[in-house]
Amino acid sequence: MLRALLATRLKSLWFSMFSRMRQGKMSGGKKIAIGLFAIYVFAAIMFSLGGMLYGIADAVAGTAYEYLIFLLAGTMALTLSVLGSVFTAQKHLFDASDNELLLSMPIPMPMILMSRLLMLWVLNQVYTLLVMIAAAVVYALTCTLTLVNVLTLILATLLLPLLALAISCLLAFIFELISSKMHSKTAITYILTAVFLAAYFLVIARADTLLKLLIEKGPAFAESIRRFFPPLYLFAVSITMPTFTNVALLILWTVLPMVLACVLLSKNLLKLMTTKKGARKIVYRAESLKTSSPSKALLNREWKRFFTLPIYVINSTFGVILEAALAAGLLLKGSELTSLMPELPAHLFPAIVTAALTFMGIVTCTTAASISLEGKRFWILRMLPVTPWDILRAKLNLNLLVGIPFLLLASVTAVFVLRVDAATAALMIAIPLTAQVFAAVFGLCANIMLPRFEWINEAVVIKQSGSVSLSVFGGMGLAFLGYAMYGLLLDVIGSLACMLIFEGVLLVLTVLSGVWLAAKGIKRFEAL
Amino acid sequence: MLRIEHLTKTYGSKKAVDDLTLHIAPGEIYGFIGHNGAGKTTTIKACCGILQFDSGEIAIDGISIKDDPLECKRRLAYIPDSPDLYDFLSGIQYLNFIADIYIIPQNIREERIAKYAEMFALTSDLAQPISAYSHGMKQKLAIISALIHEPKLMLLDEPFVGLDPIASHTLKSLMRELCDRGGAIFFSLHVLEVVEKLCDKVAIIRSGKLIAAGTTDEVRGNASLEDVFLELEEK
Repeated sequence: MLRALLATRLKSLWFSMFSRMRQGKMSGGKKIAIGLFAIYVFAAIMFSLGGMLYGIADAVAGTAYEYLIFLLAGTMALTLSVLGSVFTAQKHLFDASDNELLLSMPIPMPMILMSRLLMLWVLNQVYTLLVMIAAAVVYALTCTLTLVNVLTLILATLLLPLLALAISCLLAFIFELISSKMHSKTAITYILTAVFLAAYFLVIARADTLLKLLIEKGPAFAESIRRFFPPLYLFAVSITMPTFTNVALLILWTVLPMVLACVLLSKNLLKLMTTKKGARKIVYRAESLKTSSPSKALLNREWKRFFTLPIYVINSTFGVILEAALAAGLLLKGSELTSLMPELPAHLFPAIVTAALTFMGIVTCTTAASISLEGKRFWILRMLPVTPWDILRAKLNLNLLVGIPFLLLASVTAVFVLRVDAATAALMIAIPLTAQVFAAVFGLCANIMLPRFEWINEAVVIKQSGSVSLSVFGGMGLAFLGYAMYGLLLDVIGSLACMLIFEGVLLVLTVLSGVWLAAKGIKRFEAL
Repeated sequence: MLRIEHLTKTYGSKKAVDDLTLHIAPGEIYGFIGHNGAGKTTTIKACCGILQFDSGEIAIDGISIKDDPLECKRRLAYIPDSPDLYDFLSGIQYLNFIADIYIIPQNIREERIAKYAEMFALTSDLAQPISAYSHGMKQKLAIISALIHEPKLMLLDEPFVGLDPIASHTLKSLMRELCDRGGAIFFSLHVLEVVEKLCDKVAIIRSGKLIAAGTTDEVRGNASLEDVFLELEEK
């Protein structure tokens, strides 16, 4: 029974990524392209994480503090797993649409709970593996890796997701408990998300300092971790200094919290699953209705859906938050930056700011999940007397309205603070803007190519669907290609020409995506 | 009002609808019956432009759904078997959205919403989010949204599922009123007694093929519609 339940959930997770492949709708060439794309995403993550870990490995290799590599890796894996799975845990444990169906069947409650926890453990295991493979490669390259190290590395990698899962479940339980007491679940999710993001940005903003601190004061840092959060310390030393005591204590510190989380959930799951949230009745009082044109009505509908799905907002406005932070940072600390400019090459700051804004524009993509989110309600749009282009335009406009204002604010602020010449200023504004338009158009194309209408909850399509991965990672790949091109050609043709070429490439790709959308995309959309 | 000529739709190698021809005239309530998977929903969805079909022709009020789908959609209304509506809107927001799309003037939409919401006892719930609605309430809201632009043709897929007896009675009255005004209704249903009482004409479909069609009296002859249906299904 447990196997059947788990298989259903894993299939749902897999199906969310590769539905068309499973249905046999995808050609061999496309399967290979998706395979290559997956390898690219994996490699991109590996290299960025590996780069960070190599920095510390280089400093501690051959000393007694080699465990600091895994202390950092463990911290990263744990953070990534908890951040990546807490809202998924909340959705899958308490808000899954098949809750009522399963509760009506003769399935013991612990079985339902166990199947969901195992699925979440698999998800956390994927997050952990992303970091741990990079860490293992860095360790093997810089230090001596014995067979015992390998065995304990595998064991520790399997155990760490249990701890992450216990923390995710506890946080999800608290979130659900709070939101079940409140009328507006959306509001509480936004508040909690804001707290989460604030903590995240605090860590990111201080990442460089923390990394330096870790290298300089590694032993003291490790001692603090050992005292205040022993499982991470045990995780690291179990791999580099494997003793029976270290390994046994690691097992205890990872398995025990999970057991406690299971006890807590099994006692409260049924109550939380069946609690009607925010059921205060609002009585309708007839009042004058506002009228809108069909196109505005479609756009309003997109806005309403966007803001009632916190996970959608969080996932697609990461770049917007960074843009606002950048604009504020430039306004507050701009003078410090400009005082450094005479000592550095003139092109440096404008290029860095443009690169950052391009990245932010590219990751601000609402369109990649927009069609899939129609789900079972897609019939409404299809029976209405509106053209497919009306529908797609509303989806594009939402993306542009979400992305452009803060992007423009940040670009214009940067132009004024950095006091660049007119040509550079124009490109500093045009490149991120084109990147934003490209992200919106390409996201829509990706979702038309990889739609997913059957889902248990929205988080599946927003976070795990193939179209979202394709548009975000594809866009990021394009941005990195641009940075690489800039680095290679800077000395040959100069900064301005490099920026101009990149703008040209972005424009061509945007136009090509737009042409595909108008010619083939609309027809494919009609046939969905 | 609705002309279906040689409609064929396949899913992979399976013919869901096979060379189906049906004519529904103004003023007719046309029942469409058949076993599960017979092709009823596919036919209805093809008629309202939700589903593309392989061959044949569908015309609404003389307009081809392939040539001018928007004009056809302006004249028809569709209610699916499972009313999945926008959970993120309230009932009134959903109705107003539909009215915006059909460009219904403000005073007329307010009047129609008030009238139909009252008829289906949904007025006090209109401010509630749709996510808080029961299946029956969603079905009522879908019906009101379908009536808001006063369609000439209504395509209904199992419209009585989830409705309470009063709402079912109201819907039947509205269906008759619409046809008396020159409109037409084409709908699928499994409750043969209702089809027998309500429909002017009836069509029976089996494995995508039309096996009987005509006035309800012609199709059932001296027997009940249930007996005729069972007999035809066993052949």
